[in-house]
Amino acid sequence: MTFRTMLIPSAHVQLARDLAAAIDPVASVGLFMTALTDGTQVTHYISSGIVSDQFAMPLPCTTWAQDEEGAWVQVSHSPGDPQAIADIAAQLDPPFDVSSEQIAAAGAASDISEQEPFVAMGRMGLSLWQEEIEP
Amino acid sequence: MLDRSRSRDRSKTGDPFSPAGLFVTGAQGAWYDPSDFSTLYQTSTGTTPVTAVEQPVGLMLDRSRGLVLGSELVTNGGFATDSDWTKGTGWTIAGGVATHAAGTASALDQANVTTPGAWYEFTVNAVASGGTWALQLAGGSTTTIGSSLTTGNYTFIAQAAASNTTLRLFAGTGTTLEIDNISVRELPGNHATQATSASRPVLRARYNLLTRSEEFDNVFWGKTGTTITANAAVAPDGTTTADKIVEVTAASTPRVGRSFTTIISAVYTLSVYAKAAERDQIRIVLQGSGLLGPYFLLTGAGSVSGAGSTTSSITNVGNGWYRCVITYTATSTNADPYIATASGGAVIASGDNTKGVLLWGAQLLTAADQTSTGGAYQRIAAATDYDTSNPVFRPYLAFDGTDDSFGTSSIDFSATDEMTVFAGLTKLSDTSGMIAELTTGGASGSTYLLGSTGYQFRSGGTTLQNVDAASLPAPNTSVLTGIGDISGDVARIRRNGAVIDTNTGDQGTGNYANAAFFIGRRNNTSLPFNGRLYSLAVLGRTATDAELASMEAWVNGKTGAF
Repeated sequence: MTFRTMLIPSAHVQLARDLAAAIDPVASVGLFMTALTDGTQVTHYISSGIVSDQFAMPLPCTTWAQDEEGAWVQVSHSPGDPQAIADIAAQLDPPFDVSSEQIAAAGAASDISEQEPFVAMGRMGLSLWQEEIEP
Repeated sequence: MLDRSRSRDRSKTGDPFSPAGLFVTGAQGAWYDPSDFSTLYQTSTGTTPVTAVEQPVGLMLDRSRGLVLGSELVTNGGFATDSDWTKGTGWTIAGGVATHAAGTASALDQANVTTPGAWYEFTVNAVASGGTWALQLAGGSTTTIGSSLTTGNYTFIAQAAASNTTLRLFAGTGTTLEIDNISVRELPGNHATQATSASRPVLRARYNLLTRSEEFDNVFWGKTGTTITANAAVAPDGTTTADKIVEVTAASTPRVGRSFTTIISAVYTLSVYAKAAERDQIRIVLQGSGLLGPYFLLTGAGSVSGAGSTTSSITNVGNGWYRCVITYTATSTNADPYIATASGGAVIASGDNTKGVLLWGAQLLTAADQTSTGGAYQRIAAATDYDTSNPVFRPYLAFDGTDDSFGTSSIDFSATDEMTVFAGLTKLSDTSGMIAELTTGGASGSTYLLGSTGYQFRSGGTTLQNVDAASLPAPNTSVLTGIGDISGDVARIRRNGAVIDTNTGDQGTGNYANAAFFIGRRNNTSLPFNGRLYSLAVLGRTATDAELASMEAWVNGKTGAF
């Protein structure tokens, strides 16, 4: 089991939701439902928590640390394995039609780390999009 | 099998109050008790029990029905005779074993085992080779209870979906499989699940906000003009884990520190154990400012002086050790605390590498946690390695404020227009977050407990009414009770055993809904709650005054709010 915080840009979120649900229709349905805003519009969707090693392994992951001035510095980055995800998608019944290039593009645009969600959101300058309570 | 020894209904034994007693008259509802690990499972299908803190929780059993398993529902589950089962191609029953021979993917079925909507515990013992098999409920859309199974004793807890009445063992084409026993027994209750792995709350019992609380040599702690000799002396707990902080020659204000995010206007308590060595004073500075920087004299009875001394204390805990404590209201988002060696009421202008002090057991608590734990020191070695032995470190479900939640299947409250909801919680954010809600919002017969800048309870039939416990900024720990009475036009919120507000506005007509009960988010999709849940119960009637008092006291025992 592995902890991950995943911030997916709006432009890629539907692919991420559909692909995750297709690959693991039990434990990965309902990901990326919480909207984040940069203060003007919804830019990302977030999921954060403990996921299986098999889920985390092919995804990119970046490690961050703060320097003495408190600025975030990238310590390491794993690009993940888009081809492995594409191969799994192709073997589904029915196959999920996605290319490794599409997956790589979504992964490159996303922010995936081991940081706690509000730390990652703070680093990205994002906050929860405030929903209406009513009705 | 469930360990029900820890889940027994005390109301039937003359023991002190048990929440189970609220439900003995048959009232609809649910009672969730995260402090009872035997009711928690890491997966939503109950395959992996929760055994320790920091594990995710995908299934939380409802204790309101006592967690008593029903009678055996499988006929000939031991395969003593070749009867009662419908055998697909390749299946045989003989010698107390059901066997599937490789060659054709096929099922072994028994009809009329389960009832749609009910929960069951499934146990099955299997020996398989050359492939995998699945445990399923068939009829309507097939529900797979367990898939990719091989050899072993399996236990699952799952709910029969619509039209699911047939128990099915399904073996793949290449699977050679032997089943020597299978059992299905009902497990009554409105159990709460979260299938999405990343959305499962985590069982936690952490209070100290600092990590590496006894390891000042760790990189967690910044060293400025100091070196650390790890495990240099016997600590207050008798272990040789106290570190010596030694000054670097000529260093200005030698110290150890750590930045830490705090909430402006929230109250925090920072403490550390210290013992004189060559230096007999320390100074604790908060927010990097001398405005909050008292000096602690580590001799005699101990004493405090300097800025911040009015909110500081020192306690002689024996063997030369003192617990130095400062409580303050954050005016910055960074606690930025440090501990400096000192002498004569001043920090050291030029360090001496032959001099230092001993430190151990650093802790930073919110005011709410200072109250609930009484300030008891909690060792934190790492995020997943910390002291849980003290009962004041009460376990809770941590909801991350982004996507964590549970949901139940529909709970039928349609026979009642009275509702009581009990919750013990800590709110860690003032952003609106759904603590618990019946229905997905707005529909007739709904009710919720919401955390925001305070708390809000909603109740109503065809008209919904809200009632607030206002202006309780995070972090805030409370025992909340929401009381709704549709025909009586009562929406009431109680906090920590007292009525806060009552709304007698018209709630229209009708009863509460037959609907799902969500915990931590609205409809498992929005308004995520950021905080801790120690206890939760929903009761489909108005609790009596005596029951309110007993239940609120019981919840407070799990919460430590007042």
